[in-house]
This record gives sequence, C-alpha cells and structure tokens, in this order.
Amino acid sequence: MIWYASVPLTLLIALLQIGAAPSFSFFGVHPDLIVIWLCCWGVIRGRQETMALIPIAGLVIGLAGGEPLGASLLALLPVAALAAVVEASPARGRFLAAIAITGICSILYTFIHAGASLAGGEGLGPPLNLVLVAPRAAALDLITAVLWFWPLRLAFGRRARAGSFRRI
Amino acid sequence: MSLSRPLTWTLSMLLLALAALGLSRVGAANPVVSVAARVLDPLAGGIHAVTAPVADFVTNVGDYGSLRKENQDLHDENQRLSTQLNQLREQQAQQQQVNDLNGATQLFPNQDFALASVIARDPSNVRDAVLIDKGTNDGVRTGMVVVGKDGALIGTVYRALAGSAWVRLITDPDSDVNGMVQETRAMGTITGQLGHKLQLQFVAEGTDVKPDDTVVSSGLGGNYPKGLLIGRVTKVEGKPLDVQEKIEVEPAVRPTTLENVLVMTSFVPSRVDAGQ
Repeated sequence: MIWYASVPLTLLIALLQIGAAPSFSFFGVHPDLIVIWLCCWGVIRGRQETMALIPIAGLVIGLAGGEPLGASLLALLPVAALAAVVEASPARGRFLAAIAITGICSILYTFIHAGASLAGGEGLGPPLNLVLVAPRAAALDLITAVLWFWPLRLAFGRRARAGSFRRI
Repeated sequence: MSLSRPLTWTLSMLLLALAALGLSRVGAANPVVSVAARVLDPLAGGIHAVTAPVADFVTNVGDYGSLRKENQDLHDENQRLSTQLNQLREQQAQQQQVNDLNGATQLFPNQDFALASVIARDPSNVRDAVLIDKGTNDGVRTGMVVVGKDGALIGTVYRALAGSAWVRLITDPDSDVNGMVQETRAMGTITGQLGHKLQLQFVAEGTDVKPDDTVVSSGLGGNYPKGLLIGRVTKVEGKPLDVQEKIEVEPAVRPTTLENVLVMTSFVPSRVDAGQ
C-alpha cells in the first residue's frame, strides 16, 4: 500500500524540486528535495523500492526541469547503490545512514548532474562554481534530511512483525 | 536477491540516461519534452505560485532585523520626501499667488505696491480683519488701500504698526466703500455684512441692476482709486413699493483664503494725513 503512495509522492517531490525548491534559497543554494526524498526512502523502505522510484523522479525532472533529458536520472543512480550498501550493512543506525548517504548523494548529484548537463550540450560556467556550490548544497540537504527523516520514518517505516517476539 | 538484478537495473538505467542525453544533445528529445511540458509546466507553475510567498518568508526570516531597519529607513525617507514635496507645493502655490499679484500691479502702472503676507486674522466673529507682515517700516500707513489678485479691492489699513498692520476687509460690517455697477454706472455704497458678504446700498431708484453685474469702486470720496474690482451681484431683491432694492454682492476675493496682498503705498487716500 505504501509503495503505491510513494509514486505520486515522488512525482510531487519532483515537481516541488522544479517549482518550489529554487525559491527556498539559502546562502545561494536551494535543497535538492528529490535527492533527500530518495535517500530517506532508500534507508526507510529499502533499495528495491528506491530503484523503482529513481527513473520516475529522474525522468520527470528531466522532462519538466529545462535540463538535458537523462541528466537527473544519471545523477540519481548513486542513490540506489548507496541504499543497497546501507541495506546490506548490519549497523542499526538508520538515521545516521540516511544523513550520510544524503550528504554523499548530494555532492555526487551536483557533480554528475553538471557533467551530464555538459554532455547534453548545456553551458555550466566556471568549474570553480561547482566546487563552491556542492558543499553548501550538501550541507543544506543534510539539514533538510534531518528534518524529514523522522516524519518519513513514522509515516512509512516498516513495522516489526508480532511473530518475531515469539521467535526471540 | 542475486547480484545480477541490481547490476542489470543499473546498466539499464545508465543506458536509458545516456540515450536520453544523446537524444537531448541532438534535439531529438524535444518533441517528447514539449508534450510533457504541457502537462508538467502548469503543475510546476502552480506549485511555484503557492510556495513562493512561503519561500519568501522563510528565506527572509533571518533578515528580520535588517528588514526592520530598512523599513524604518524607507519610512523616514518617505516622510522626508513627503515633507519636501509639500514644501515645494507650498512654494509653488506661493509663487503662483505672487505672480497673480504681480499681474495686478500691471493694472495700475502708476502705483507703487508693497507685497505683504497675511499672518493673522481677527478672531472675532463680528469683524473681518487680517494682520499683514508689513508696517510703517515698509511705508505702510493707516488708510492705505489693500488689493489682491486681479487688482480686487480687499480693504484698508486701519492700524499700522512698525512691522505689521491690521487691514479692515471690505466685508467687515464697519466697512463702507463707494461702489458702482460697471454695466449701468449706478452708484451706491458697498457695506460689509456678517458672514463675509457684501451689500450694495443706496442705489438710486429705477436703476436696473441685475445678477452677475460687476461692482467696482467709484472713486468718490477719494478713499479708493476708481475702478477697483469689488465683486459680482448675486441677488437683487425688492418689491415695487420698496424705496431701495436689496442687492447682494459676492466679493471678488474670498476673505477666508487670503494669503498674500498688495498695499498701494503710492496712493494717498483723502483721509491719510500728509506726512503721516
């Protein structure tokens, strides 16, 4: 059931990324909502669901965002890989994992998106801009992820089965 | 789950992304993007319209102090400019009045005038008098004639002080001016009435005075030059057996709006003593 809700929510977040996020500019950068959303989803719901959401998000942003089609999709691919790493990890600190992969994915998103846009024929300006923007965007994404994680966890987190108590 | 499935997915996505990039590069993706934009752009635009005010508040909330100061500065600046604008308007109005009065001096090329400003009014309800800022130091003497815009008669100086002078307006109930209806040459006496009005009295019987006739000073008695504009007839009342008609005259200059006047310093009324 939750999975079916995730698709329209992903569409909504993608549209928010295009229509709203640029208005929320702090220190010259705005949050990458779709990165935060997918990273949190990947940690809370697992890699498999995230793998299905990534092409939806990437293509919607590519179609509506005025960027080369495929740039966002390519830049979001690391989210699946890092979600898989977190899923395979025995560590229990899901919150810290979400924050960590959000930071990493945010930086990767900035650079991969820039490279893909360049490959798609877009101009980017001085490369130094990327070095200046990426850490700030990552910091903002981290703060946003901190605010988003627990509400998302409460709303969409997997519940432990009742039978598991008996096994213990 | 085996390792092959994520790898397949990753390779598929990579190929999809690269293909999309390639299509974008050569422009082949444009038709698809155009179709999608018809659906997605209004949605994104709607979201932007809804969230923009929130974003504006959130992103500026940290600047509250500076915004407050800027607001105060702008308020002060606005206040200063408003004051400046009002001063300029006032100067313009004053200049216009002075120009009008200068025009009045052209009507009497042989006379000398002293420009004066009205600085006070008689507070009494039964007198119509104003205080002007020119007095004996400026050549103003008791009995001198005061005129306004278009050379209209305003009154006479009845008390000249060193730096100021009181002027009794023609609308003062104690004021009498020998007047004349310009159209019919009918003579009479203009007397002031309560409520800043004038009345033309002692007009000879059988004289045809009509509303809108112009009333000027007749020059009789030597207290006023001949031909000074006094006002316009507004009402003529009288029954066949009345000895005199009641003729109301509206003064050419509204006494309540007087700001600047001209004192005829070269005209010596007959009641002004020589050497005074």
